[in-house]
Amino acid sequence: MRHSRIWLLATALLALLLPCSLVAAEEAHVAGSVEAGAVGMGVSNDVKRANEYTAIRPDQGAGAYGRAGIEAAGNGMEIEADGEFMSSRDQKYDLDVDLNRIMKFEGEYQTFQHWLDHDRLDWARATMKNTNASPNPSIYSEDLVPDKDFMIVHREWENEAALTLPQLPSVTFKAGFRMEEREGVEQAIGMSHCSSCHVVGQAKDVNERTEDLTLGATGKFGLVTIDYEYLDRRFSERATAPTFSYNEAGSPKAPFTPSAGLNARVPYGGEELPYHATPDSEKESHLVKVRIDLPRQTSLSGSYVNASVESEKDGDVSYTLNKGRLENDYSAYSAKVSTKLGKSLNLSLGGRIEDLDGDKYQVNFFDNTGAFVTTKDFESEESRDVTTLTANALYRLGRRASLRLGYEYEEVDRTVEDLGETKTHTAKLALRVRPSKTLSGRISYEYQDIEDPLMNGAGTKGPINATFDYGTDPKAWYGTDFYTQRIADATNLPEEVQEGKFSFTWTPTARFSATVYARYRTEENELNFSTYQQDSYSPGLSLWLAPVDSLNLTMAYAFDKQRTENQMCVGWYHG
Amino acid sequence: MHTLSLGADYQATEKLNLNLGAMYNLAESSMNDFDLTLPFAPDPLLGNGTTLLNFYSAFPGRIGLIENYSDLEYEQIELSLGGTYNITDNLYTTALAVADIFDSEEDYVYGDEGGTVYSGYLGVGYKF
Repeated sequence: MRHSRIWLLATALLALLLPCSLVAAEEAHVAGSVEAGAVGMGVSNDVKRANEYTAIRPDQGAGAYGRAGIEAAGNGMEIEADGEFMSSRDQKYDLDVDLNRIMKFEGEYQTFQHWLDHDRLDWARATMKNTNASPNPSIYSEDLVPDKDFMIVHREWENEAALTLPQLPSVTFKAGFRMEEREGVEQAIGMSHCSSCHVVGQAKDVNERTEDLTLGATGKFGLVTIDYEYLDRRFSERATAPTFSYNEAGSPKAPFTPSAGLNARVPYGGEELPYHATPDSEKESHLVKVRIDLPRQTSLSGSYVNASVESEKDGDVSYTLNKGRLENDYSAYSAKVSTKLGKSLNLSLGGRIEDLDGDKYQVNFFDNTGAFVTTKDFESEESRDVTTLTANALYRLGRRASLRLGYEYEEVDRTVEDLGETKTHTAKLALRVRPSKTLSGRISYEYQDIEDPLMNGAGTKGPINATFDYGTDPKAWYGTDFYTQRIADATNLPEEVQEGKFSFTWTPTARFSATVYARYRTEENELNFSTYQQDSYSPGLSLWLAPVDSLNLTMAYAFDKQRTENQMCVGWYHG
Repeated sequence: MHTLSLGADYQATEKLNLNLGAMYNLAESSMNDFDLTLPFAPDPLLGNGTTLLNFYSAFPGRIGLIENYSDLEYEQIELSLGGTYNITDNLYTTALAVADIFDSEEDYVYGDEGGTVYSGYLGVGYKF
């Protein structure tokens, strides 16, 4: 990253010097500022939440800071550059260049640090507290790095260039490059398997890089505008995944040998294995958009996008896949027509068809008898076809009001049959008013009816066999005696949603303005043995006052409350 | 969650501009405990051949702790005071002081994250 920053700084410096030499002959405008000084920070107790997203320094200390900005225009060239250096981890630079409207360039670089929380894992004892004296099943949680600080340094460098040749004025060629890095240390939480769940927190190094390369062009040919963009994205994690010590699976009755009871049914144990690994991936996409502007304020538009994402995955401990990379493909077609009928009515109709095709794969492993097993093709649960239809109308009710009506139908058809099909109907109504010069506002209402939202059809609630004993013959199994006998639907997705919003602004004078707003949303799903419900309230008020020309005062208050009611599954021994 | 913010920008004299900011944030969360009735009386005895019902003794003190462990609250206060003084038409000096205060009531999730950060800068600038 260093060479990139030096390049950007050199470009900015060149931009600062260039106006003096090139913008000379004719009337030239150059303006700017340079600022430098000392910056410092003191910390009492913990820094992580009080300075979560750093703006001046990540931690206590003192140093120098600098700011500079320049605007230059002349000879058909315009340059604008800004830079701010607060510390090595808090910097921001911008550069905009316009050369005779033939070539435009925008560059931006920013870095800052984000302090992360350190989970002490005490909450794990809220439902299965380990009292040590009791032999009951429990959760034992352990933070292996209690004094470790977790933080991520973010860096992003983004450039875009556009070229419009005088010989071909209707076409603009575009190119862009973006690089984003996340570097630091995160917390990794893992759990082993045994009669007493052992939850452990460790530190995980993070060194991620995402690189985007975009190429494209926009052409305007009379009534037709065509836009094309190609994206090539590469993501890599250059840090090594942490490892965790997984216990042997055991039983209170059987000795810890590979042939006994539960242990033979778990393909790994008694070893140090990697976890919390982030796979590398590559994405490639093509996007084409077309727009036709017809008379009578009518337009037709359409788009097509095709994208594929590949990630490295060839298996894990105790199993392998029949391929080394998994690929997901996405394609979508959309079309929209909008027109104006008469003086007051705008109509638009649209539709979109999406196809998400996840990769199929087979899993190879050795079962508890030692036999080598190859499974059938597993279909990705992401695979689905989505169809969306929309209709919108905007009717002007005179000069001071407008009414907007909208309807959307969405159908999600999942390839894995057990996940089912979901249909959503959405109706929207919005009224915008301006009853006087000093008062304006907007009121809206939205209703959604969702058929068969995604849920676990046998998630919770089953008969409890008080005499269940897995140790004696014939053996009883959790799979048959508990899990498959569950009968209650479980989900946190609604089948009915209602949302109302309003916002009004009152500006009685040029020195005072008040805005009041509120939002209420309710979600509900009547399941077979319980009800999921979530209600959200968000009112607020903001004021602006300028009693004299030299004084501006602002005040804002926001309240947010959310209440959720749902059924929770409490683990019965192992769940 | 409650959020209150206040701001002021004052051109005190032709050369001096002052700005003041204050923000207060109060966040609370809670979860009700389980409404659970065991279908049988737990048996504290544990031995060979025992059944699963014996594994849930001391139920209120071990499983019914959700209400205790979800009662979270934190307060956040941010105060800032800054200004710019134009020494000449081109030369100016600027300063900013900020205090960030975070106070969490419970530490069983993320530990004691309470803290205060004082930061600021003092600089000289030139406009051309």
